Amino acid sequence: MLSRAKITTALLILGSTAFGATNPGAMQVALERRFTETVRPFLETHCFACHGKEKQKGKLDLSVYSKMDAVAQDYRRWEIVLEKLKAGEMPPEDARRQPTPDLRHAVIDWIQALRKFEADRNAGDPGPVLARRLSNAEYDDTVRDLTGVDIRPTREFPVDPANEAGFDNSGESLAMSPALLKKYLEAARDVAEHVVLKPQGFVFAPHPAVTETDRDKYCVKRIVDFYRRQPTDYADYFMAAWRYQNRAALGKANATLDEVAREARISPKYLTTIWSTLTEAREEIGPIAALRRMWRELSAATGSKPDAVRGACERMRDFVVQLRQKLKPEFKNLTLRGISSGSQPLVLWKDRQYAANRLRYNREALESRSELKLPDIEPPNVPLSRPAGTLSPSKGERDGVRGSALAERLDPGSDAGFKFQTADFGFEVVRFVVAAMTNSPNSQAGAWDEKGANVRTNHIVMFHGENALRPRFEAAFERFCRIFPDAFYVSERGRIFLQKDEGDRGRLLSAGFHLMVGYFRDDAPLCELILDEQDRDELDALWQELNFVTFAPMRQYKDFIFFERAEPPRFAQGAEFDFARSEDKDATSEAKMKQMAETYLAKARRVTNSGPAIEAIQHYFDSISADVRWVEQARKAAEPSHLETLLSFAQRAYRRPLSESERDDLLAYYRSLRQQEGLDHEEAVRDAIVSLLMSPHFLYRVDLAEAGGDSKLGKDGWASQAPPSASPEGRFASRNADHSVPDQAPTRPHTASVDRPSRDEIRDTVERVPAGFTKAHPLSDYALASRLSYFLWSSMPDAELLARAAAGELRHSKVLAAQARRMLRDARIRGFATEFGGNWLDFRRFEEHNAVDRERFPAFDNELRRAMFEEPVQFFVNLIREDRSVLEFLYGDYTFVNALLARHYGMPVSAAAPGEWVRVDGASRYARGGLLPMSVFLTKNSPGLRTSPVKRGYWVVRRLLGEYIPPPPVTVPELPADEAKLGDLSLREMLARHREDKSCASCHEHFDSFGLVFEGYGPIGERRAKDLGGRSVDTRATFPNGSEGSGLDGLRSYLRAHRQADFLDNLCRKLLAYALGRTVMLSDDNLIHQMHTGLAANNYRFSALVEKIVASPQFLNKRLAGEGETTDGRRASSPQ
Amino acid sequence: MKTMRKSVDWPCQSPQTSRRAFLRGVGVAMALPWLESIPTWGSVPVKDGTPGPFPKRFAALFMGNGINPKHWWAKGAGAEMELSKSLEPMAPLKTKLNVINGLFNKHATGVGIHPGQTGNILSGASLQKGAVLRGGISMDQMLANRLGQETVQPSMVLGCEQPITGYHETNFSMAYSSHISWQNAMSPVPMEVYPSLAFDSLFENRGHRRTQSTLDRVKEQAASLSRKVSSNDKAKLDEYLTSVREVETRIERMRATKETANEKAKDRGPSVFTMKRPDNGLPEDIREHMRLMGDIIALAFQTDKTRVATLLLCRDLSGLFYPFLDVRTAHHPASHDDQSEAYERISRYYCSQLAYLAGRLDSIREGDGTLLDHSCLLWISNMWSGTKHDNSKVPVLLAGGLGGTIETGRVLDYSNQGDDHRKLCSLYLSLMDRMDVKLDRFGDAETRLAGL
Repeated sequence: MLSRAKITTALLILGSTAFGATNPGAMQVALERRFTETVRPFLETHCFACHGKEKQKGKLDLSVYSKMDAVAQDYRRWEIVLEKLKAGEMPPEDARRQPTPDLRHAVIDWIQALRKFEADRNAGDPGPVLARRLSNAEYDDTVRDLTGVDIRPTREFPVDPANEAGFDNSGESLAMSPALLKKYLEAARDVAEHVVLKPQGFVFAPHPAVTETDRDKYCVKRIVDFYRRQPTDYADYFMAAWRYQNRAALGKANATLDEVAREARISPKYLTTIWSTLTEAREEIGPIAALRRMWRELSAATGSKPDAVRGACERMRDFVVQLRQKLKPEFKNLTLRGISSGSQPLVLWKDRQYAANRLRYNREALESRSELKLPDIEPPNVPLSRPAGTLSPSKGERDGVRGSALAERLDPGSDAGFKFQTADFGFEVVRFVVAAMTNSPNSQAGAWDEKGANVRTNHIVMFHGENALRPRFEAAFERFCRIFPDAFYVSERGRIFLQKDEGDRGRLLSAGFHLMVGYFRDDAPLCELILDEQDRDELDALWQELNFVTFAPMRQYKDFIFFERAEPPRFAQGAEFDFARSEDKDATSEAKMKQMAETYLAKARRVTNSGPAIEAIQHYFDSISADVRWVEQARKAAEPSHLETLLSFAQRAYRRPLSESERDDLLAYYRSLRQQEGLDHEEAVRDAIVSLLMSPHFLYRVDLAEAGGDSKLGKDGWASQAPPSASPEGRFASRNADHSVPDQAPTRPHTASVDRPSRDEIRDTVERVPAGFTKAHPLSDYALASRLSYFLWSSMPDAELLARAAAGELRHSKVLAAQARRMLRDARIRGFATEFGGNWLDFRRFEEHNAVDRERFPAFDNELRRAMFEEPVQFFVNLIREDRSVLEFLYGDYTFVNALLARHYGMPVSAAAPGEWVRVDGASRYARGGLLPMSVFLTKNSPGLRTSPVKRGYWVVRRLLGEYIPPPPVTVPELPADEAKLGDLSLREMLARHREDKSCASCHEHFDSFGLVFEGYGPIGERRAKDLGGRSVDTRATFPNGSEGSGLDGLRSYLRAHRQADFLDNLCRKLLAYALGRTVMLSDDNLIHQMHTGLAANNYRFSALVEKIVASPQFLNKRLAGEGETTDGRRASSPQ
Repeated sequence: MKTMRKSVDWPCQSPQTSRRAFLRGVGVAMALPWLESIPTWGSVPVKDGTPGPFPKRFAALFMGNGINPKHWWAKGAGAEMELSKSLEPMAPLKTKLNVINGLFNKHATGVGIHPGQTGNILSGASLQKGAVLRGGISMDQMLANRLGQETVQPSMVLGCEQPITGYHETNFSMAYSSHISWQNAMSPVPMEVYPSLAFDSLFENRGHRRTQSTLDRVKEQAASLSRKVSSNDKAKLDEYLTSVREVETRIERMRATKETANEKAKDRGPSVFTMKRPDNGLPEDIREHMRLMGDIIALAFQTDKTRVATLLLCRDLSGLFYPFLDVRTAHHPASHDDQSEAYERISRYYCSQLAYLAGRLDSIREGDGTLLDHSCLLWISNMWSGTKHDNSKVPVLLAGGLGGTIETGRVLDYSNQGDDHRKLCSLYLSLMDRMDVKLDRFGDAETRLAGL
């Protein structure tokens, strides 16, 4: 504390020498005279006895202030003197002599006049804002916005110290050390390990992407996620078709099919197909005819009740899915003597057969019979119809075995509530089930053992009638299968070369090999029926990336060598194959692959003359070679694009464009890594990124003034240079769009949210340097953009802000205000909530709070702790994004809870959104609302097994109201740690006794009462009627001005009536200190006053505060070299 | 510098010579032993000119697919110990050997064969099937996390066979078959299979070599930025610049200390084990490959570059061939006939890899003992019988006394103990204890291995 105060003092001295000494006026002369004639003698008479050379009670020595300047420089202490004099607390009651009221007022007046004088004289001084490294939080958030992934590299960094204002975002406190530098180095490497090089540019994966398994994970997940996002549920399409049909009744008479599709988030293309199938097809027999009957019944029967319609649509879907599964073609393995059926060429052949037939039907499924025959082995007592409810058509094909009937007719009609049978359309879906009787004592005699049942024959589609009809059926089924594929895509595949399903799940995108890595793409129906061109391109790119990023073809081919040579039956054994070793670096070279293909094929031809098998092998070698060569070439061809991305990454990291020489320098560094250090391309890119993240241009915020103001600036040209392209994020950002960085999507037009200034308005730029102020200079546009973004987001500027800076528009007050408003609505305001709110109200590190006795309070677990931390964050974010009144911090009758916190607060838990945060209005019913009764503060200020009215009260007075309370003397007696062990006295009574001691009372009077009103909340903020010692709680309190009140309501009434201005004043000061990254100075007084009045004039909306700050000279300017410094930054005289 | 130049041909003064090339060249000279009475590196206290305790080193050597059970046994103790045919290579060092049978990993049993038996051999974790990898941190990495900051590299993870990552029929990823060293539940440690790169990492790993070029670069940037700002800002940037210089100085100091040590070592003639940088690429002959990897571990231990090493001699489901053992089939198919003479020769060959490394370490003097005496080499396979894929117990050999904390020359058999008393993770807990990494539990074990 002391050393920090000293630092600040030193800065203030610097400040006033820079701006004060040269401007003497009559006012100053008068004030100085009053100091010598009145104030100094007053001090000598009434103060020096305790606060002089001999004694320094409260560590205060007033004898050192021999001149007015000295007072001005140390005004913060004099504010306390002022307070004590005003309150009549000093000189103490028992002092030998008391000053006359007039004299007391004269001194009070003088102190206040000095303050006013000092404030006016330097009003708008930007103050000393040092270059500073990013704080841990800023570093994490910046890395998140820079890379698009939330890596949080500072997890193991030491905690940043706070400055005097309580914030950790200023140069005074943010120091650098060798140990920290090494941590930054580790952090930079950590980030660089997330880099994924792509065919165009690079991105960052959410996890390290160095090992093969990590790279596989990254690429496979992206493809599978893409598949899962696609609308492939038929019910959604039937539903949308129904909505379209009933559009008039639903109040959307003019809706087009496309609009309906978009609203339902399904494919317009496929909806068109479905719609025409349902409404236009002229079919009398076959499945589409049946489906159309269902459709007609649906629209006729259910009118316009969407819920009932949904159910019917799902039954239609189930009918389609189930029937379609029966029509799926099966393919046998291609076999070849001496080659494993799991060998890559053969497995891939089979994969291709399935993939090529997804829109075809299995002719063999269509059996022609005139009547249904039941098997002969009919067991006794078997009901011919299946028990009700045992068969529910379902998507999966495996659960069909559950039925226990001997022969089942799959009739969507009766089963699904439709009044028809498929037989009406000339076919029936039937399956024969043979079930074992169970004799187990637990089951009834003759009961079916469902597990023992097995489907004896495959599902058969029969049609009634003459064979002459067959061609028509063929055509009808063909059409059905053409519209409804057996699968839109395959995202997992087991070992398909095995005849029975082994249940190998979770092999994502796998080709289905044994032991070997290999992917197979099978999504033609999706591409053809559902995706539009853009989606198809995206999917194609994802599959290309898989090969590019993971080297899948190379690895697959090396595994092929291993498998064919080492695993039985080892087709490639023998000396002729000895040249091929999967370990060899050149195993995938063109020459060696060619040799392998020739040798392998020659051997295959010796053992077979099966055309398809030889073809499959030939196809394998052709396609794997092509893939390997593609990866090789694409990797090489992509290198320039990676360097381009590197350059745009660099300028985003530096938060400004690069100068020509910086660009050259970066590329030269890359080349030196490759040529001199022998790194490969990928390593060199990673190292270059490490060096960018270690650069002071990234790591430090140096607010540079705009070029021209200081001839030293812009020597490299970058301070005034426009970015090289319209979008400073360039290609990098667009590649990164899939990482859900809230607003980096390049599609957002820059003009969307901000009014572009007219030409006239731009000319009318704000007067940023206060009149007569020669030692400050406007910040450069980019420095201003950063200052804004680190203030409101604790992170780097986004694309829009940088574009504004590039266009030179930020200096226009309207643009600036509009940008601030836009930023306040952005989700990244969370950074402000945790950094400003968390430090101001002292809950930033609550997730490390461990003072709770968890045995006594089992409800308090890490989850609840996290929820407690989140409550004020949610409150802040909501208040700011909705631009509500800051008075709601105190009086708001609402708060935010998740299920856990709701339970803790005794609020009903919303079943609809169990994990989500919801706003609770009328929170006073649960004794909550606003910041005051949040459990995070009540818990943080309780020492475990009891409450602490002292700490809670101190928190209110100090943190919320900004009152200065000196630290307690070292001799303070400890209160018992456990309420239950207090003995006869309640905590309230012990505190009352404590206040009987005058020296204690002088402070405790100021805050005990603020804590006592919270006695209705226990040590973890829970509501309670009795304390841990079984005593009824008493929440009454007498506030410092003598008024009385009880509980939360009492405290709020008191605050509203007497302390609201204190709260607002404190909020203004804290916010300003945070925004500027320095401690508030006397010269900020006028701005703080303006913030106050601005608030009152704007219904206390939060944005009013921010707009005042960002338009202030303090915010827009930088103090230039002070007196005693030469222009090149060196001090002319030696420092004091 | 002078002493270095003697031993290399590189033209050091030439400005074109990169630091990398330079370091590569002087690698030999920098391969210094743990020198008595010279507090060179590491954190070992040296008092009154007598060496403090020597650092303890640990290495795990893995062979896939089990051994020939018929020829894998030992009897007796100490110098009288009788070794089976497959264990014969360890005969010269049998007093420094412990043959341990009967231990197993519960989670590696009953889950199907191969990958599920392998990926957790050093972690005891239960492995997840399907596309998402999930296991547990392995004990070598646990050691590396705790001891790693004392050395240039926290650990070395080496392999003599490339990993594969497809799927096994048990639906476990083949990544489990290829990696025994896991940095956390999700990710295996990338394995170095190139001897040349493993060698480089000892002398110019990114912690040094690449840091240097990063620091050089940002130092220049800070200096040039510093010239453009006011004096207050300059002070903050100087703080940064000073930190950069300080980190650089520390790196240089480490090198300087080594040079001093090198100088002093010249006349004393301790048994300095040296090796030249291996050629680029993979050695054609697997014997050469394994020997080089062993040499690199010996060098790393001797020079205290790392104290933890893992060497995957072959992966599980290995496709390695052994024409020099007169075996025509690859490793894995050969293991399906594990009682065969051929597989006995393979088993013996793998035991000889332990013997080679142990012999190397034993030839290096440290104080009154040898480097082997201050080390523990764990040799392990994932099965007992490859024919049956039986891992109800696995073969374990321990070589070295780990600084007098492990009694050697013994045959320990836990086969008849209850399952709770024969856990591999109990062995790991006991070994980590002796490396001063004390954990309450590891993997599936909460107790130490009795009788070790």
